[in-house]
Amino acid sequence: MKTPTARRTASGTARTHPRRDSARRGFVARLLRKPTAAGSAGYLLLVVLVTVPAGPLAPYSPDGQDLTAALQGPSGAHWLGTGELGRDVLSRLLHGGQVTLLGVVITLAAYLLLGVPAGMVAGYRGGFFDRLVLRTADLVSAVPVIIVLLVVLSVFTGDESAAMAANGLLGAPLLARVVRSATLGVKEELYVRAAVAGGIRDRVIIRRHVLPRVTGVVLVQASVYGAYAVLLETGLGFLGLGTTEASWGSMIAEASKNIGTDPWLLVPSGFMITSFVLALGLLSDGLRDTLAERYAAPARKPPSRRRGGGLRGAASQPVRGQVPGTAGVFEEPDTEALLSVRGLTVSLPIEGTPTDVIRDVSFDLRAGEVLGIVGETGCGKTITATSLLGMLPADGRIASGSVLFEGADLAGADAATLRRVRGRRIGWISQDPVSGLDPSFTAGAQVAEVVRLHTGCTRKEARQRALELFAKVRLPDPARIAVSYPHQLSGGMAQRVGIAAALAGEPALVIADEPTTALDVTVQAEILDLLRELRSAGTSVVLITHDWGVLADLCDRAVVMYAGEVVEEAEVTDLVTAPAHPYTAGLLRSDPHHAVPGEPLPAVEGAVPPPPQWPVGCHFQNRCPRVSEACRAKPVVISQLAELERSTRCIRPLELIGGPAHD
Amino acid sequence: MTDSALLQVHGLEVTYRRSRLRGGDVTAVRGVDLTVDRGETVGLVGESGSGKSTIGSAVLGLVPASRGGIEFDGADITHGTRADRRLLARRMQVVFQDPYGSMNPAHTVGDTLAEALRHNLRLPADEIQERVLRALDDVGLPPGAAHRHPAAFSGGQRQRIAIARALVMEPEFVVCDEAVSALDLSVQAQVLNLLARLKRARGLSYLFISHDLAVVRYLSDTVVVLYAGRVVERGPAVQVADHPLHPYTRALLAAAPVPDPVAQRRRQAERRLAGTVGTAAARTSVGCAFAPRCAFAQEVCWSVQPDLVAHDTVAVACHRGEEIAAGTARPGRPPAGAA
Repeated sequence: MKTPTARRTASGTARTHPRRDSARRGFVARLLRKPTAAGSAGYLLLVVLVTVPAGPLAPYSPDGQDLTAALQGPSGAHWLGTGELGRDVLSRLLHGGQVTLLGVVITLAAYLLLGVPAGMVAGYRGGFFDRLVLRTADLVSAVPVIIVLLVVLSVFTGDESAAMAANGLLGAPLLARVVRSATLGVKEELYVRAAVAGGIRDRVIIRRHVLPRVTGVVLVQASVYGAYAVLLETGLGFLGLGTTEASWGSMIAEASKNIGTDPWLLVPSGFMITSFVLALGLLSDGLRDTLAERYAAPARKPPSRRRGGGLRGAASQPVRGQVPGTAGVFEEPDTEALLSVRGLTVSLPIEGTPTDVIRDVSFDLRAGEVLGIVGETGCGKTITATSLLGMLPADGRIASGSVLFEGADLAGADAATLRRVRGRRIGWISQDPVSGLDPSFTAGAQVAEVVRLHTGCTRKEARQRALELFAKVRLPDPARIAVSYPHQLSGGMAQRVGIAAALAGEPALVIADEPTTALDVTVQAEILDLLRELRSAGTSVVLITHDWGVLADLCDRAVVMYAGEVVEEAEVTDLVTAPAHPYTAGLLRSDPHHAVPGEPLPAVEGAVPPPPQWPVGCHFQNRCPRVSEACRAKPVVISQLAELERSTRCIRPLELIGGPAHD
Repeated sequence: MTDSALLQVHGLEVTYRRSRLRGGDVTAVRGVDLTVDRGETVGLVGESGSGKSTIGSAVLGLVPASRGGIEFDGADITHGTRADRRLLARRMQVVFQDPYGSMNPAHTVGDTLAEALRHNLRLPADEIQERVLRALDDVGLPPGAAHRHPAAFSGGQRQRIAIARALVMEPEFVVCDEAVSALDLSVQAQVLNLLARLKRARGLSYLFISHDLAVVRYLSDTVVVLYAGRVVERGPAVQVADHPLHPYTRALLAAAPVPDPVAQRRRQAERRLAGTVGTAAARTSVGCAFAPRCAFAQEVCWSVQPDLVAHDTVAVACHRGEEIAAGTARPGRPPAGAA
């Protein structure tokens, strides 16, 4: 695996899918795709290329004098003019660049060679060395750099190299501190723990996992410090403390002396320094962005698993944005229902192409009922729920369908209408209770604010109402909880606060998106009890879950979603005892509650296809044990099952009585 | 110790150092004894804060043990050096929970799988490649997967890759730290089947850490239930999961909803009768840690830490274990905090 050749051999046997994988493209190639970074790198390279071989390139010797032509502007003989004693500015600029750039190289060498290893080891190992590095950095911060440099220069008179090296060493502990904190973050990564468990040596882990991750930070720091070194060299030259040879710094000094007689003299060296520093800064931005791309957290939602468009064969080309006809069961909205969703289709851009992510979703919720939406990751449960309240991601839109709630269609409603409905008529309970709360406000203040928003009452009344809500969601000691900050609450308590906030507007409907997924099972049971109490008090609930147990515990009816479609809709008891759709049956069978130790679990092979890969016809066709030609031919419509209060999107539904669905 | 024991943990205590400003040191594991026999799967069950993952980390040498000892195949590995760990990594591997965080996103899958082979075992390139391809095949992934980055795979596929990474080292013992918890049902079933198949084919032993009693019941031979860093019940998995003795195990079982509305309604009623309340917030410094939540708690439970006592095949750390086993236990007094 070590050589590229070996890798190629292995790929010979593989069916690799061509895909645009930004992490795989070369680092330099990706950097150079950024115009600013590429331009800056090109400019810096050019400067280096002309200063390093300055001897043959420069038209004159840097110290060659021509007293007859002193302090002149640009001319054919002297392109950038001449300075004191008639020395050619262009030649001095080229030669001077050597001195200045050497200073930068010396500074950075000392800075990086000391700072990076020290920071990585301090962060990775901790302990005494860590404390030593931190205290040294503190100490160095307190040292006046310029005084140290003056001392160095008084010892090594006129030797800029020593001053620049000292400058690099003085900066190194500060770099070490930055690298250390970046290392601390990497150290906690699971893959570093996995490497430790794999018995990999620390130095290998530091080289393979830590160093690439801190490189971005280091490059940014180094380019800033490199720019600082250029300015320092200039400063020393300007003060007459630096070298007596030609350097950008001594040229500035020369120009400033003659600013009255020949202002032009400041332009070439000034431009050189400014542009060089600027280019370093721009390049560091580009480097940092390019490095960040490699470690960008992969999106945890299926859209990230999509492949590039245009490479699929015609047969698998999904009908992107094209809605198959809705049929039979769900034609007209049910005006009796509290919430009636019909033909809801939501479109989100995936790799630039607007793509349906849920399609033709229809269901009804009667007042006082708990409706479950069940399915796996990537089936469109959360998109369905967020679209009901118009809370889709910014570039998502409802392509078609209606959401009839209390007689009004929310699908076409304007922002003001939706704001009135949110919280006041429909409450929202999120999955992650702690991050749903603002860490800088107390729980009581946050809920009171929601109360005030909905009722417009006084602050005092709102606080009182918040306490009542806390008691209603069975928080022990509401007064104490009200003055607690979110981080002081356990997950279960935070979720109760979240529910209290959702109830603040006394909504008729609460939508709960996986409200117990992040909680321990005993806490989950208590939260489910609480939601059951809400239902008894007349609030309707739409509960999104992936857990059959939670569904069975709380819900009256359920819709099963698969790959953006409702595939089955029934009373929960009927659904779990006699599922009609093969997906429902398969998902139920793979629940470990039914598992017999020692026997294989009946798993549904394969995975949920992401929206761009939805097949024509039934979305479940490639995983279905009962698939036939007809399933692949054309989209399957949802239809009622013979005289029953349930429906399914399957042309070969399972037998409902005595079926093989359940053990 | 018996000849069949592969891993023996005795009196393990793990304390995390923390500054006084952040609440002082936290003892996550308090005197845990544990044995994993060759070819056996031991399930560690408990809720957050029970110390189950800390035990796994201590076995792997990722956190130091403050007290007690860990023996692997007869050798003391409690305070092993990095060199010891390097040798041990050939026999002991890990699969973590998060299929997204457990692989370096900048490395290809092949590179990730080859890492330990190259840098620990220092195998020649052709052997590394052979092992990587075989491991991918074992977990049901095509050889081409080696050239792609983790971002190209779904959660279930990544968990297969994480298992493959453990397998390339050809270990005898694998710590599965919530290895299927982040997966969807149908994928979870696939991965559980894979783990079961690998165990049979290679005679692996697992320390299977999970919060889900149903998953542990399916995969494990023995289950160990933890509460607040202590073992409260230990026994054959099916026995413990179907007829739990300790009030905490009972609470855990009663709280996990089953996918059957009729049974679930019955269980709701039972759970209300059992009267277990509250979360782990309130804890006593002496006595049984579960007493503040326990319906069966008596005076003694608040003052004396119960020992793990064997009842037939099952061991329970409960003062009233015998009565509960005999079915004669009645709730002691209403637990503190019960409304």
